[in-house]
Amino acid sequence: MIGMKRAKGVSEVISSLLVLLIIVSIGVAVYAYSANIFSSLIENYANTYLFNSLLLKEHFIIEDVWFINNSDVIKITIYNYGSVSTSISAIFINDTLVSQPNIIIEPGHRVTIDVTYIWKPNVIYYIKILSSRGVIIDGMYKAP
Amino acid sequence: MVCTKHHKKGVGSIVGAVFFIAIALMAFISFQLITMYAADYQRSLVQYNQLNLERLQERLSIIVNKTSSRLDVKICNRSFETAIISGVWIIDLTNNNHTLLPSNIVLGSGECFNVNTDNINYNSSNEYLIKVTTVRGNIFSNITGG
Repeated sequence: MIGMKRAKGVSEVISSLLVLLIIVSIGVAVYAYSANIFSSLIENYANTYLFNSLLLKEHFIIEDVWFINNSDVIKITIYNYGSVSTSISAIFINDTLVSQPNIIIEPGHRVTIDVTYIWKPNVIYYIKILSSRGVIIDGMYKAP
Repeated sequence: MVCTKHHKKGVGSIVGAVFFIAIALMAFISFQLITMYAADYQRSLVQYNQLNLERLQERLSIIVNKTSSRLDVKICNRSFETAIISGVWIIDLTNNNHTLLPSNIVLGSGECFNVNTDNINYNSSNEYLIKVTTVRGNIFSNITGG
């Protein structure tokens, strides 16, 4: 009788431990799943909001275009009037990629980029500047 | 026996409650972070609209006078907003020569400023284009006769 009571006591302890183990396992699994979902949610929102926020702060203009006489060089001056730095990733003339300068312009600064392009006098050229964030600034410029 | 059952139930509840609180806390922190990012985006949007509004209201007039010896350039702020000039371009259209005079001139509403053009290679018979860039990204220009 005493042996049976002892056996019953041991099985209760084991069953309690098993139940606890199952509860903890389920808890850890649910926690890990939730942590994964929440972290990816935060990452998505953070990326979207931060990227769009930076897009709203990025502003630049083509300040001057100088077709250098007797050469195939066009000097393009870009001024950053935004509140974040701009990285100029590509320059197109008449929709042809002519330069990939990867130049960073700090806010309130200007940069002049020399582009090699065979230009002709009195011809209008369509110049397009693309930043690394995908902002496009363009304009028509007549060669002298 | 009753005591042991109560004890078992208690441990399970506590463990469940701990996990629930941990998940709820994580959800709350996530919500707070997302709200923070959204608020930052809203601030950027307000600044963007403000810049565009100020940009549209900016008005500068460029008065150019050619004399036999020098080019007189006077910039006047015709808007209600204060304008900051970041650069003045003197472009000799006759010789195709571009000169930038970097500046950081603050012009209050109604104020005028005379640009120092002593360093440019001036010829009274040439045609000049004057371009003025402001820190808000506006470009104002005026042209002189040949």
